[in-house]
Amino acid sequence: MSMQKELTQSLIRLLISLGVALVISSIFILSTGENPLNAYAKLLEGAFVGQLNIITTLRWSVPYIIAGIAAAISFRAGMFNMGIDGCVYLGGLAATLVGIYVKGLPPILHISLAISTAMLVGALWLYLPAKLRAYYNVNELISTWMLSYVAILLCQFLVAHVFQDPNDLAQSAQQVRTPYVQESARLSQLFPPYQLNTSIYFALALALLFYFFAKKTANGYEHNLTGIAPDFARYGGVNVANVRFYSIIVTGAIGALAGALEILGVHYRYIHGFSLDLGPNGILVALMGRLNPIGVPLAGVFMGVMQNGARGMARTSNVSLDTVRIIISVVVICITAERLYSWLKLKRKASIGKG
Amino acid sequence: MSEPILRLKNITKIFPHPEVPVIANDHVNFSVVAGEIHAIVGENGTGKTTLMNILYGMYQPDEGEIVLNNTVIKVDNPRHAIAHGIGMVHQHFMLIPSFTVAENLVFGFEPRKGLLVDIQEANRIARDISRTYGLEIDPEQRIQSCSLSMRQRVEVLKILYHGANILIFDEPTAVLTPQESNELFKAFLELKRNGKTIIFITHKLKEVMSVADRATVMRKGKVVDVVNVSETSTDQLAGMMVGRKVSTQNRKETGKFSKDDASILEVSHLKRLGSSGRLALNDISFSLGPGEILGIAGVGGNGQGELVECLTGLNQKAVGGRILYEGIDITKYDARRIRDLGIGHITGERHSRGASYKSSIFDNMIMGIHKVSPWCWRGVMQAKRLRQTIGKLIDDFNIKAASMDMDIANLSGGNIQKCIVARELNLARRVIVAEEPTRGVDIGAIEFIHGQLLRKSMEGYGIILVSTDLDEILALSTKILVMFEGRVTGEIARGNESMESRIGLMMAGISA
Amino acid sequence: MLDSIFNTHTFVTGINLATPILLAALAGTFCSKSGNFNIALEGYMLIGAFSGVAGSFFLKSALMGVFLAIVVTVIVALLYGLFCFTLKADEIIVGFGFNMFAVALTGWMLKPIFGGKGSFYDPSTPILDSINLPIIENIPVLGSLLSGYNFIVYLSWLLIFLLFAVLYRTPFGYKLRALGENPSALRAAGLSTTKYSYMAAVVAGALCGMAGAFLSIGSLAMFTENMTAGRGFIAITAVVFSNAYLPVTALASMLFGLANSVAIQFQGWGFPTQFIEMIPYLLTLVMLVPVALKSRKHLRKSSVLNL
Repeated sequence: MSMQKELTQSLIRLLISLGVALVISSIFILSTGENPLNAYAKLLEGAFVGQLNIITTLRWSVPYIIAGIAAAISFRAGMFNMGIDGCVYLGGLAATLVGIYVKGLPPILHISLAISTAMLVGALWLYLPAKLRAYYNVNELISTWMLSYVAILLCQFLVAHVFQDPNDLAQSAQQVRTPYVQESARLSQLFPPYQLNTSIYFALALALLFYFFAKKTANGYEHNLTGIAPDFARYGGVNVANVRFYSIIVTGAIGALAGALEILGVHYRYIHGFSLDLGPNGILVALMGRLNPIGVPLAGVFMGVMQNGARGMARTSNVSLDTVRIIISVVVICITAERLYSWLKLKRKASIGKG
Repeated sequence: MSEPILRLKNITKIFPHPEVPVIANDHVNFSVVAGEIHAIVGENGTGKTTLMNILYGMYQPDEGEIVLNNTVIKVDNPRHAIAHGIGMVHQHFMLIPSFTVAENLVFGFEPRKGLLVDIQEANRIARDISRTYGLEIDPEQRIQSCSLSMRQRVEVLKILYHGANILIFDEPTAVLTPQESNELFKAFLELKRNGKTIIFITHKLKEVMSVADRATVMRKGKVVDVVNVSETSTDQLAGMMVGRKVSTQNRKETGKFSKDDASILEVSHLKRLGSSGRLALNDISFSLGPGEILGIAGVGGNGQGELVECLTGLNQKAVGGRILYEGIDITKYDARRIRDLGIGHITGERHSRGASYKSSIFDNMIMGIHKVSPWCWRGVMQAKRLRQTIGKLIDDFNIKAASMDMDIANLSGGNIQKCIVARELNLARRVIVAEEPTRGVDIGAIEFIHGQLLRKSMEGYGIILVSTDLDEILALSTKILVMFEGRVTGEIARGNESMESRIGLMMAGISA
Repeated sequence: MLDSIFNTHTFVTGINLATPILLAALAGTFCSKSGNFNIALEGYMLIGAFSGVAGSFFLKSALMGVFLAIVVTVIVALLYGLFCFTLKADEIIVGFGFNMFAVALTGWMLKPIFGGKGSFYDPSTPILDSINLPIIENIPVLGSLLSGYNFIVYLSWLLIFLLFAVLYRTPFGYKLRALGENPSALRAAGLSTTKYSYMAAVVAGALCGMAGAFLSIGSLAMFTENMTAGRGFIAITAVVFSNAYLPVTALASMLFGLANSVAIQFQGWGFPTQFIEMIPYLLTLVMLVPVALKSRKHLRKSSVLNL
């Protein structure tokens, strides 16, 4: 399909799914006695109106774009990789530890080292599920999902018992955190005191790289076709097992990158729960962006808008944060419903024909 | 001619499609007389199966009606058809692998004992009905371990259990050896004696001549004519099917390559295990020289697929023997290296291997050259050059497509096959493995593809042609090998008299 | 020392841990056999848990809680069916979406229904009674192992046999299995594939609803966000591990529960809580090893993402 056609189709489907989701969430909002239109207005306000809001929206878009691209790499190859969140935490922790304990490096080197270590850890963590799936056909959905839980618990353990900040007591889970990383490991803020930092450049670079890989390179072509038609790819000489293997591993690395950037750019230390479901949300972003290199970054921004706007909406109206989660999950449910679109298309054609 | 018991009047069926709606049946009139064996003939894609599926209730016609015994009947659903005594044996069997023969036979109409299925009764029913019609089966055998002809028998007994008086068969001999086909036709005559009426769909004219009473010829969704078989011939039928004089592509010259030219491909004592754990290839040896078209005949499932996979690198696990290409041992090469060597692989399995139905024509056709210079430079695909090459291929091969960016799924089967052939012939350098190259394709495309293959062999290419279509093998091959249960049961050179019956025997395992 | 691990208490805990997984795994097997690789079991259970507590609290009866859980989850399952079978969406993505939706929905509902945030706990909510089996409870050792569970546990044992009989001996079961192996066989017999897909979905919903209710009102009448904690996926693993062969699925689920319980006993030896919490997930991974060794084919259709 041509680029243009692919994009228009993606956009239409997204809008239809969004429409259905908004209708459903409006019902929920109405049931609590609130006005849905008011709620959505407050949402948009919270995302766009005012310097703080718009910069915070951008700040949130960054990890979503990165996590979305991470997920897209696996899903494009037909791999249902659910282990991204685990890699986010591992990456965050690895970057933190490099940031704390490696001394005497200039910022560029320090940050590069922290990020590289994080990405390596993320990739290695998914080595086993990747190998099992690519070469032994073992369901990656379960193996990656389980490993994700293990990773999160492992990080929690390591921080609470080994790397805990001595100034805080790890009595409750909320207090589990490491000391701060050194100045040389922190990403600079673009508009202090707002949280938006240089990680946005990483996101942009990654988006460009993803586009180039997916659309222009031979490996990108093979990667794409492995997901769409693996038998055809195999017949055509593509090493399908290798493509699958590397997809899962690279996803781990990029997921870890997202985690590392969150720590080095925003929190400056590992804190419990910092990921805020970046992994699953990354998958949602990838699905909403229909796995293509233009849709996914845009969906990442959309997610940033929703999350930031939701906070604003929750503050300024009586509508809860979960409403936005409902919207997004409904969008995901609708997004692959082929019949929904063909049914609507036929209805449109019929009405046009009659008119 | 006596009164027809069944009439399909003015049946029209259009399949909607975003780009090109397909008129599968165009005001078709069809009738059958009680107790006759009636063939529906036509090439692939002419609406024969659609028509019968309408009769069996799997599709609804947009226009027209069905008249049975002078009453208009509604067939909204196969259960209605069954209630009216109409049964259908489909081309792809509707059986459940893990169920036994008896369980499949009674499926949908299971005998009950309280809330449970009465398996004993099912076994008894199976034995009874098998005896009544003389079709041998083992009720307790699981379908997954039954042969194809056994499975077909189960399908036949199933519809007889449903009480069918009119039995429809869709391409019943597609999976049978010539001998098994003869057994089937004997069964037809037996059923006819039992008062049943038989309709069978086929594109094999010899079958029509040998067993049918009357034939309806279809072309492009319309009925061309209805003839008494005794008053016609295969040539006449062929002419009606195609609408013009059929020019059978035949080799007229053997080309300027002599037997002394070094063989390009040599297979010696090749052995390979199949999915069941037994040897699928058992000591296969042959050689292929320039300009040769080596036809590999045989009923499907006798190792041809496994042989193709070994030759094209899709399976590298040979357990014995080797394959030499221009002297290089390629036995363990994978598909990428085989293609890099320039061995093309045309496949008839468009839906799984040969094409990606969710992709554009462009994406389908660049596979294989996407990583090769000059279409690729340092990992980056050269879009302009790729589009140039694909554009030229589309022109050269007469592929009817509005643009190379449209979904390949919008093309007809014949055009998709042409894309595959174009792609493979483009990247092949000396050897082409053509596996069912014209499966499910209309005559125009068949002629074109055969022409292309002949042209390549004239240029010195060696072609291995694997096909279950004996006519195709006979038309193109310089030499024919017949495979049965993983072995070569015989080799015949072109021009041999009584080729076909000898091949038939070899296909059934009787060595020459 | 071994006594402290292998005792009655461990066994009882094991059964209680196994029950929701068993029920969900039975649901998963049913779906698999009918050709649907259902990963929404997690979401089903969560919604069932919420409905169970809500039903019990507002209707003042644990039994009503279970009933409500089943009804609500069946409705959710029908919606899942709508998207998968009628609207032809990708079953894995829809499943994933439903899991997210369940978390969002139950989180959202906490406020309007219970006025709380993050969790709900009211000690006055009725829980399921323990049933003391009349004669069995007096048998020396077995008595304490087999008696005293709530009715869902006993029902789950019964369901193993019942569902096996349904699947392999009734006409309905034959049709479901045919649906999973060759849907065109149903069409050729004039039967509706969507109808049977939906029926399987309903059964799955009911079973998972029960599982959820067990979780929330089985011992403490409590609901916390995300309380299913991956049990649905553990159930799916049991299905994959057993290749959807019901007896093995049931066995695997039970063994999982017992193994988990044994492992928890080690907590007394001072292992950090995080490692104890990891146990179910590690056990699940262990379950995948034999699958790897046999290089089995997948149960799910090679669903290619059609985005």
